Amino acid sequence: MSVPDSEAMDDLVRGLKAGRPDAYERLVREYGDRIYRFARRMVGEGGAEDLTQEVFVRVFRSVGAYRPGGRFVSWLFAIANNHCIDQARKRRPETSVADLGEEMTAERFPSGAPEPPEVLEDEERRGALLRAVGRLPLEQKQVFLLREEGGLSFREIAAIAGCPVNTALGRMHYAMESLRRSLKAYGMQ
Amino acid sequence: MECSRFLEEKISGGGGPEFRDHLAACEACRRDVEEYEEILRLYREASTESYPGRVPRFRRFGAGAWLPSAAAALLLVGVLLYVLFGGTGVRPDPEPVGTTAFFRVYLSPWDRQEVRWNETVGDLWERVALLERSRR
Repeated sequence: MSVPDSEAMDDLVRGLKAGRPDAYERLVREYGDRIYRFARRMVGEGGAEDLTQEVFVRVFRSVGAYRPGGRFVSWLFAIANNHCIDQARKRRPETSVADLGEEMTAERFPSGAPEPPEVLEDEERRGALLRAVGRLPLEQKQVFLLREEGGLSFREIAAIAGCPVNTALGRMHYAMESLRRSLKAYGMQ
Repeated sequence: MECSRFLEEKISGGGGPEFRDHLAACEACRRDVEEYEEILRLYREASTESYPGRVPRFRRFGAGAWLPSAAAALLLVGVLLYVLFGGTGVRPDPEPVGTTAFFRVYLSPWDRQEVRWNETVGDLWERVALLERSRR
């Protein structure tokens, strides 16, 4: 069962299909930050801006073929997700999605050493949590970010990830447990 | 086992009366829910970066956006006509009398003649017949 889009969203999609510049600007204004954050967590800070722009280019090119069988935002994040995984694969071809998480972790957190277990200030706690999200295996990170940045249901996430809903729920659960362990290791909870 | 039934509710928050009843009785699940909520709250506070890029520009946008492309295509056609036909769009007949034709006549597999005539079509066929006879 899909959740229908609102009237405003339908209007946005109609505008995009008609090639109206104001619709496109609205799309970037409303979703640019979320897509950017999704890309940034998925592939790292370097290149996230270009990747976000490429996602919008892909949306622009393929919106004519979009058929409203589900929510537009789900379709949008499916494009972002596919593009992020393509980019990750380009870095390391013939690598599975599960292995990519490890590869990106090693690249972005070269030391691998945990931060000192001390009580951190709020700003540090937030930074530590973002780093912990970055260290998640890609399959868990994908589900976590589609949920948090995309605001998608687990049914929509499962469709994008190509897995059963229970698998998506399980990955989210593992992600939450992993983040909880990380925060406890930092003396946060 | 009972706790695993409420995985989605624990992760998503909310849940129906059955889940609330379970939470009231299960301290472990209550702690899970509280800590998950804290993690998500912290994440939402932390994840605030703005997209630093601008809106990409596409020439396809707008009702009249095809005009520059059409103008460029017309210009290209004009240049081609000028190059091919001397600028007027129509090649002037250099010899206005009669009909100009270019023939490649094969009289045998190893011999051929290329002939350009500037005559009427009737005269042309006479010439071809004459040429064929001369080759015999």
